[in-house]
Amino acid sequence: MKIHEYQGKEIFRRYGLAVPRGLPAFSVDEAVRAAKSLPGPVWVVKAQIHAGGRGKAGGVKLARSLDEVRTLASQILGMQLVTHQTGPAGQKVRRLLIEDGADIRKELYVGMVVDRATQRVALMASSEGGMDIEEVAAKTPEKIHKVFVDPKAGLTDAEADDVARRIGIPDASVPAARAMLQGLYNVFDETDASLAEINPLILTGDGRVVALDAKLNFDANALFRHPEIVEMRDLDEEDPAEVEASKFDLSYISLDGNIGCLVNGAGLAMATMDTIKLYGGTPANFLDVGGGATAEKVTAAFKIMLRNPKVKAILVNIFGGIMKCDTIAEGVVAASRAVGLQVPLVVRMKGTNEDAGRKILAESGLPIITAANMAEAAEKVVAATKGK
Amino acid sequence: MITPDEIKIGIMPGHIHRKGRIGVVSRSGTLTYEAVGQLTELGIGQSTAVGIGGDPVNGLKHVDVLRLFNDDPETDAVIMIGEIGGGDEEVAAQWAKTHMRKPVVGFIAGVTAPAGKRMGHAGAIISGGKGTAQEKLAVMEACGIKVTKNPAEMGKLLKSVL
Repeated sequence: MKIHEYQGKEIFRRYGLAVPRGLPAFSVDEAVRAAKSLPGPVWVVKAQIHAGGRGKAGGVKLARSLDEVRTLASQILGMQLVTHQTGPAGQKVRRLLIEDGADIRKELYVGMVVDRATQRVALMASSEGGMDIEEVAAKTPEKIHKVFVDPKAGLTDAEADDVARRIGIPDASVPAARAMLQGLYNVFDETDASLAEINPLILTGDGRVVALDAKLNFDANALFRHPEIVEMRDLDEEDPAEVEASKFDLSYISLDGNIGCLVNGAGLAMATMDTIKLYGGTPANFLDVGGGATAEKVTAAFKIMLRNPKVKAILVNIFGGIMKCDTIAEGVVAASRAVGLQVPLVVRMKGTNEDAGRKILAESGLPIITAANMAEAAEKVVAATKGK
Repeated sequence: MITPDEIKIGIMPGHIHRKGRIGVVSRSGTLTYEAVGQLTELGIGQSTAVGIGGDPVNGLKHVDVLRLFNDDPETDAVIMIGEIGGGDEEVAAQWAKTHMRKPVVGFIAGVTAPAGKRMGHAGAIISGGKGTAQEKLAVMEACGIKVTKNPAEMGKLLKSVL
């Protein structure tokens, strides 16, 4: 799950990390009020969307008067911000962050992710702040310094100081940098983050180390123990179909094609999409119904898939383990009736109680096309989209 | 994991398995059933099928299970099933190139998966252009692992190397 920069900074503040003073604003008036509560004489008006690259796209501007705050806020609020991460459609700006201007001496980078190879939290830091870090990694990998943190010890003073010096923090500011790095590690660890990034982290003219940005992603599987983070979720930033699917505990991702897929298991769901492609079709979605698909869940899944006007056929691919094929067959029949299914439906079913499942489909009287294996199912569903 | 006729730890449908000499290792549960089901239909039994899970940080990796199969006198060949995200399949393939004494065939799920989206499993994500199915398939092939892009043909491919 992603959150906005201003929300990330709220979390940073709670952990004692130095961030500029600032307030979120949902309207132009609120933006001006927020600016008035800050001393000035320079304010930063920052678009709050979940995608990165906001500065380059014109979503972050400097204001030197309250009038300018008003002008910029009215320009940025409501604009369709297109960054390298939003896709060509861009993302509408609905929230702003109004912040104190900062006296920047140096722009640095610091980020944390879970490193799969070492199975530890990796701290990455660089003297090249404010830039796309993937570009820095590709062009000048020697400028990225990494620490793989021992989970038992945490980020030690020695490790933090060493990284701080390597990215060009002067001796007098090393304690401030150490507090920032260790604080960020605590945030990452205690909030079950999957990504924590400060770009840029700055050294100010008077030697302070301040987080000018805050990007936090959280492990969705750990959100149950962080209700305060779940409250920060902004549904406007997410795909409506994916939001609807998440209410039913369905793992759903919208794609560009015209064949709706309903599969149990993430790996099999991807493999089903791949097979459709192999046989000349294109999947409209990824959908893993999980282990306990009820008639209610299957109906919800059908409704979500069919809300997409591009969908010309549906493929159900189930390999039952704990999920029984007769249960899913009942769900498929009930769902087809509930939505008054108008598009061809191909079902491939195998595993636990497959015979009972096939019997339910055959006796339903519905025009369900059955297939014995994945290849046949893909072939039939692709043919169905082409009216064959 | 399951060793047919001996032990099953998990929720897989036991009846699709058959005792035999093929090892299966996979990050996905139902895709493992798929491979096992195909083998059984071809009359090929399994020594052990191991699901290592879809998490980015897991207990056993592909390479660990390949090592075990390599040393297992009951296993003659292996189906290795991977998916987008991370580089564990590449690590396993590189290891297999120099150490594996038994044929390995493979499939990687997610050729059609978009970048930057978590495909159900916590670990199934292409991030920063890394961890694509194409990249994994290329490394596996370069290391002498026969691969298929058709998950309906995993069993057939394994049969072709016996």
